[in-house]
Amino acid sequence: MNAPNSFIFQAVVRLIFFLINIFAVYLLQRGHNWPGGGFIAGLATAISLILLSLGIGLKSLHRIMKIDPARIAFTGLTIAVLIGVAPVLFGHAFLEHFSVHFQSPILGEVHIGTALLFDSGVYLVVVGIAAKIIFVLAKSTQGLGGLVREEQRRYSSVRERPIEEDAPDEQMEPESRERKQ
Amino acid sequence: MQIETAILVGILFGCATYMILQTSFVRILFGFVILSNAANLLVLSMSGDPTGKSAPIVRDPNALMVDPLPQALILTAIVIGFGMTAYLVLLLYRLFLDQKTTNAAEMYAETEQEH
Amino acid sequence: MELSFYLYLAILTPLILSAVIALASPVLKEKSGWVALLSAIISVGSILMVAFKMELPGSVVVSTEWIPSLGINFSFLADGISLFFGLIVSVIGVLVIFYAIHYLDRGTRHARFYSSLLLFMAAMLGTVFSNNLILLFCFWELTGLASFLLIGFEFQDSSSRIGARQALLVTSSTGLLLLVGFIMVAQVSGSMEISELLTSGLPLEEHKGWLTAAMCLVVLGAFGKSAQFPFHFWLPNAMAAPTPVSAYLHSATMVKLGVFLCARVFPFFMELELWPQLLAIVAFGTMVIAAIFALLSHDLKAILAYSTISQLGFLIGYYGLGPVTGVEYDYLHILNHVFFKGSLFMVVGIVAHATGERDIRKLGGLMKRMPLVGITCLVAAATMAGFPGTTGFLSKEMMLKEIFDAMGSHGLLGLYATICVIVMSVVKVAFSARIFMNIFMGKEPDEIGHHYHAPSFALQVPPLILAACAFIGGVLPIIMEKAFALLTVPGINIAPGHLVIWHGFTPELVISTSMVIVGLVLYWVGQKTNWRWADIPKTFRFDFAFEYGLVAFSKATKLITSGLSSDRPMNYLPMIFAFLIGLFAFFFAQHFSSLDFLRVVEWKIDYLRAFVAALIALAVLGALILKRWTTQLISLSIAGFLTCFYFVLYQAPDLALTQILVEAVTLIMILLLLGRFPKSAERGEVSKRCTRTRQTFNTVAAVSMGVLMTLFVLMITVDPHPDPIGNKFLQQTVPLAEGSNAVNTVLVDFRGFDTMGEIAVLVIAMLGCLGLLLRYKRTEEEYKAGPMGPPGFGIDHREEGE
Repeated sequence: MNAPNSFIFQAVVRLIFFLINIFAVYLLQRGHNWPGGGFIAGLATAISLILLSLGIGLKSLHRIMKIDPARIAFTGLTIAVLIGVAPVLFGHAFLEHFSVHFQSPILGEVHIGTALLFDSGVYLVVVGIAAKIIFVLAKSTQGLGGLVREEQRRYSSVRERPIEEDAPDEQMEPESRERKQ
Repeated sequence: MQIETAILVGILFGCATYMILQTSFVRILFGFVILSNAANLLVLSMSGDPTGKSAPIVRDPNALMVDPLPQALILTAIVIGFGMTAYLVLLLYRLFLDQKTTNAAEMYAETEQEH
Repeated sequence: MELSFYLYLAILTPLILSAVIALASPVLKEKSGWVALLSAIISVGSILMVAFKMELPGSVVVSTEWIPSLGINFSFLADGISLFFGLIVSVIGVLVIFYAIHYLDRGTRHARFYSSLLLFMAAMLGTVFSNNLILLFCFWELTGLASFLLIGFEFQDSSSRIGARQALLVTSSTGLLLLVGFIMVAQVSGSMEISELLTSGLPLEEHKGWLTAAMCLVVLGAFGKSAQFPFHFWLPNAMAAPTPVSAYLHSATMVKLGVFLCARVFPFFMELELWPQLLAIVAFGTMVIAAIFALLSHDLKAILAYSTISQLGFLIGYYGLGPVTGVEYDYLHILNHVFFKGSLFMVVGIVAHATGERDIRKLGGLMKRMPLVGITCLVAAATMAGFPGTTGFLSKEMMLKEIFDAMGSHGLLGLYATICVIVMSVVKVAFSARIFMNIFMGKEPDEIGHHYHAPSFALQVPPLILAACAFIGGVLPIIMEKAFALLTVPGINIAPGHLVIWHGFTPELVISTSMVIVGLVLYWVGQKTNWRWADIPKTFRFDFAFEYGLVAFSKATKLITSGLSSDRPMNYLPMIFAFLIGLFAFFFAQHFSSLDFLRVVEWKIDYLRAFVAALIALAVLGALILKRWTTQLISLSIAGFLTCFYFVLYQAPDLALTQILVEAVTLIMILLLLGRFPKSAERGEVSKRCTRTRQTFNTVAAVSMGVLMTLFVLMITVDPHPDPIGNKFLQQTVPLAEGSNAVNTVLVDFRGFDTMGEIAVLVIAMLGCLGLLLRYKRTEEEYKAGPMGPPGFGIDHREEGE
């Protein structure tokens, strides 16, 4: 996805990106008591990322993000598993949740528990996979060589080669050729 | 009663079946999307008629609320359905790269000619 | 030291050293043979210690718990028969390993060889000492596995692989019959311990049919292992193994397991009427057929293999005809066979090694070159033929005497056995003579001189020892007599009578002498005609049929698989849906044929929901009818967003939020995909139409699916559960999970494990997606084979050895 050449669009997208993410964190945090939660918040963040990639282009997004979305997903899964396993180490049931309550000056009564951490893991997984799949598809749609080189190195085994190497673009994209003309 | 839900689920399942039985892979993909929606509604109908009930957000323990379990199941199902759709999309993309076609009939017609 | 220690030592030493050799192969290399030899010697010593520690004749049980709840234990029984077989296995093991050390060329995989050989030895010792039926079965199959490894030792040869496969398939599948038989015995008698069964006996009266079936299965297991008809074909093919293996497994020990098993179960089953009939008819028949085949073969190893089958047939049939009190001379016959057959195999190995030739027609006159081997062969062949002065003579005299007795006690069956034994003996004399005369006497063919290299002296020692034993035993039978008396087991055998060389002029002697003469005449005829007529008829080569059967089997399974599961979505998807619809229709027809529940349905409609439902239905139908992908997608998205509204009407805010977001992401994703396809793909799509019948089928399937699902929903909603499980969650969500959103607490707390599984599935789906964008780079040939590669299921049906 190449960035459209419009300053206003880019500015708006950046603003919306932050707004959506603030809303996503809000949804995640309140998920235990009101509609919301990890899945919803994760999808919202994923949409914000997709929007950002539409606004500023995938390459710049890559420059900004630096982190591979797949790693976000793995981190989320790890967090969720750890939250599940941790109580076992202390002699409790698998995935048993604990929480603390306290009064804070601004937010009023707050309770934070491991349930929220677990939900954060879910959040990260959803963000990671949705963003990763869309980005990968978008990149290959642009004919950038399937996955970027760095990703090839990371995911492919010795016997594998990237797809585009032996699939010439002319055959694949009659439309883009037309556009060039 | 949930007559309208029942009929809707029936229509969705029928349409999904029809779409999946086509030879076009894109239509099959659409069929799967409809099918997952239909399955979600099927599970939803099990939570009972929502008339006069409130959402399962507990403020007053004695209030009449809808059954939260089907909803939790559907939430899971929606997200899993998303994962499956994503996989199908990439499968279709890959298939096109390999076969240069999006139609099952065409794909096998070529294979048969070669043999 | 305890007796049990020695017993475990005997079995575990080869087992452990087998693993040690396998692991330390880079260090040991050719020295591994000496380690194996040490192990075999330890086993011999341990078994002798066991024999000295216990009171003979008698029996001792050593047991360790394994699965006591099922009655399966590591329980071992040391009695006469197990000690006898155990000693044969270990002593012959020592000789064979010594032989192999000098036989195997440098550079072959020594460690692998000795490791398998020791594994086999451990399994053999385990089998003969087992007291538990299941344990016996386990060791029994382990011997088959080890023999598979040993036969396939030279796996570069296709004949080796085919032989190994045949041996494994035949022995292990008949072994399964054995397991079934054992389980049936255990079910009836309530015990799996052989020692307990021996004391209590089987309830033959009450469960006669059941036990007869069990007996047949057990006997079939023994037939498979001992290569009796109709399983006789695997043993000659197993001769692709290196000679030490043939000498050890396929003459002296493993194939004797069938004999051993018949001896073990003899006290249990012998009173069944079918026992003598089954054993005698099949085994004596095999004996004659195999002896004739041995005469008709030209390959040295094949001759010996068939003669082994023949001898095994005699031994098994011998147990079949045995009197209730127990047989008398079984040890003599078995030991005799071990002596001459082991020796002959080793001699043949030496000859083949030295001359590079195994076809008896191309050999001759080797006496000058290898006098020691020649003498060994002479003694062994004389033993096989039953000449006086050897154990073979004693064996044959006793055999004839007992067969004549059996003629009196078993009537027609005894007559059959007598004829079989006489024919077999005549033929045996002929091919014994042929083996010795045609290898060592006569004129030496010219080719031999070119290849010949002299065998080392050490190589000639083991066969010489065995031949010497045969000779000494034949001259001084008193030694064996004492040992046999000690090893008798009540119920199986009785102490043998006095063994002497000279019985006086008895009818046996006359018949025996005339048999030798007829046999020699037969040999002379064969020599005169140059054995031109000698070839095994194709009808009896079951191994061909077996191989064809294997190929046909895999072809048939492939046919069935491709018939049932096509690799084409347009073929299998209708099948799946047709099955699903059929299932639902069947269900309704079974339980709700009257559709009574429809009468209970309140036909009341919520108009708002009905309106939204109508819109969704319209949008989905639009996706069905519209032609262009993009418009279809838009229509579909509308349906998705309306579904979100439907969720709101169902009081499900979480679902609505999720649905709307997922719908957005899905829309982007599919748009990206469609953007990838060229216009031509879509245009080509429109022109593709299904056939008319297919179109009709699709419509019918869709309509019936819709109707059935509607009925299904009505049926499940008409009578809701009075107290659904969801109410518990609603009540407990605040006190237990400290959250008021019940849906979320169900997801992260009550059923958190499901959610964890779900996110794991999502990650896997993502990895799958990434994997789809990478691919294995194809070779030129694969490209030529078509876009999907050759059709099939990854099974290659090219025949071997072509």
